[in-house]
Amino acid sequence: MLLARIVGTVVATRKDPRLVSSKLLLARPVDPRGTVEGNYLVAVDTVDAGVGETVLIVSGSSARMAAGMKDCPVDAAVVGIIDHVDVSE
Amino acid sequence: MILARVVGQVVSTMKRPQFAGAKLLLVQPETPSGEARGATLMAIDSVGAGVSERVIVVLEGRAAGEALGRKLSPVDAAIVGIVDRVDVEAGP
Amino acid sequence: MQLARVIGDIVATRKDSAFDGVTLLLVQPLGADGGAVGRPLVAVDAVGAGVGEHVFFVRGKEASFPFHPVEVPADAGIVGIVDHWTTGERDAVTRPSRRAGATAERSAGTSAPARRR
Repeated sequence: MLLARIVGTVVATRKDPRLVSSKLLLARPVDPRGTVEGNYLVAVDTVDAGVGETVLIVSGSSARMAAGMKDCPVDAAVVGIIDHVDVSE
Repeated sequence: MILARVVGQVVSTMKRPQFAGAKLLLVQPETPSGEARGATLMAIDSVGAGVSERVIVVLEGRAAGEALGRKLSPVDAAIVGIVDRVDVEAGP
Repeated sequence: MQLARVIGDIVATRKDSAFDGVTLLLVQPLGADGGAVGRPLVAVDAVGAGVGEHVFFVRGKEASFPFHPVEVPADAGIVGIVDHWTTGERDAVTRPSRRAGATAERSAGTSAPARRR
């Protein structure tokens, strides 16, 4: 799983029928200190996250284990909103 | 999933039977602002995308197989949506 | 999946027994313009491709699906031979130029790939 910042939303009218009613968010991975790094990804929202929030994203085949995503063609799902991260040292 | 632009189409006669009837497109991953990023990929199209359209590509085998609707399909990428609009927060 | 060109054969005598009879090929991933992208890699062949041909390959455990129920420990597999591809919209460019005979006369297999000895 990875930490990411929600940086936007993606609107798609024509999409796989199993994604109708799914909210798609644009996210960018962040390091534990909150610095964005790496490539943008599109994730299905299952926790009602919003732009600017730091979230937990599950990727790969496990994304379909997120609520309501069984048998959906997704590879990334927002499964939590991060309150804070404590990093020692 | 990632954002990408459809840049081409691939024709293949001899391929695994699970690909029968599938449209094979070349997609170039992009940043939200439309800059190309990384290598061109091939993806199955299940939503009727065309060249120059911006799309959402799922990059995981079983998810892509779901889009193809066949079991044990040897695929790892599928177009699952055509992007109407991307709203990005103003920021650094 | 990615476009690629088969650039070599791999011969390995001592290997995982699930690879018995499976062809291992060296492939060079290509971009939409046909230029090499990234480093060559080894892929199992599920369609009977040969050196010099343009193909497409799948990454991940899906590479082993054509050999089901044998669980081939591969993370890349050739699953199609490319006749040609086009880029652009109005002024579509066709690559590579069609080669007469080479791949057109063969038809796609409908069963498990031949396990060569």
